[in-house]
Amino acid sequence: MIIKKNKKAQEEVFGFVIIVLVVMIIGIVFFAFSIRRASKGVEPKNYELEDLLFTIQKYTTDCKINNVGLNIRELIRECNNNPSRICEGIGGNVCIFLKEELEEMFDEFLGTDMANAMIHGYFLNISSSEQIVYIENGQLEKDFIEASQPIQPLIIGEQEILVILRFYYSS
Amino acid sequence: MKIENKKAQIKIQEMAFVLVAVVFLFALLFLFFARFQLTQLQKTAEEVREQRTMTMLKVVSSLPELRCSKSFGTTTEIYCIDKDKLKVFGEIRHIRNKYADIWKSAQISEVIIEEVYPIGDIYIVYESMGEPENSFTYSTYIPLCEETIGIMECVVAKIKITTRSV
Repeated sequence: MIIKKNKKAQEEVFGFVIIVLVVMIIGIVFFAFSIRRASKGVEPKNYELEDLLFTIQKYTTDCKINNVGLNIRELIRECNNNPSRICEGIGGNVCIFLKEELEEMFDEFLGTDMANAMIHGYFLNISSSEQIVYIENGQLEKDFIEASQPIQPLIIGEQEILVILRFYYSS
Repeated sequence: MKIENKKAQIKIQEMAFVLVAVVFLFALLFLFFARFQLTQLQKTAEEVREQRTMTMLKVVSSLPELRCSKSFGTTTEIYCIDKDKLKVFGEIRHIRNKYADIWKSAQISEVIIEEVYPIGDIYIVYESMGEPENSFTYSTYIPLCEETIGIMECVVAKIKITTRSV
């Protein structure tokens, strides 16, 4: 009888210990979630990308036509309308010049070594009925933000040109 | 009788331990909930600050004292900063100081416009004295343009606004 009673008491204590252990494990899991570190760095913002895309198009390049320096937007339209056009003064095809200028610009903004940066990849796609310019760099994976803007072609009635810029970042 | 008392004591002790465990569990749940609510509150505060600063970015870039004017030969206003106006704004302190109250009332401690492509000058539109604590810097891009012989030449500039925390 005494042995039976002792066994019962032991079982009760054992059960109690298990409850306490389960509560402690749940508590530790909650704590682990609640003290997760905030991400470092500032995530790129969508409005910033929209403004960047707009501003890039206003940049005045060294490529001149009729002695007037074209901005990126005008260069895109010229490349779309007349891809064999040559830049005055500096020489070189307008489309090739456009691509090189954009690549240089993004290298300046984001750096050439992007592997471990907050923004670790991007692409810029300019297309109409055909692709006009496509540049990319880094790892095009994980989270991204995107901005796009249309450009009216030089000839009314033609398909409008679409510029899409996408930044890939780690959060 | 003695055995019964002991049994009762053990039962009371058991009850006490269970109560302690339950209170501990509820305390943990409450801490977790409080932490969650705090995170939500911080997110909301961040969104409010961002909205406010986005508005200020647009206000700064739209100031008639800085923005490009109609004189650039088009019939509509162009969304850009006039480089000549900016130079005057940056160089003449008493003009800058006239706008100090606007920036202060909006909790802004610094407004800077920087040429980023090609890399060039940095123009200080406003700078408060001393280093504010808990400050946040927001930025966006804007064309910085200069009229030369009737032609507008623009570079890529970044406008940065530093605000104090809400």
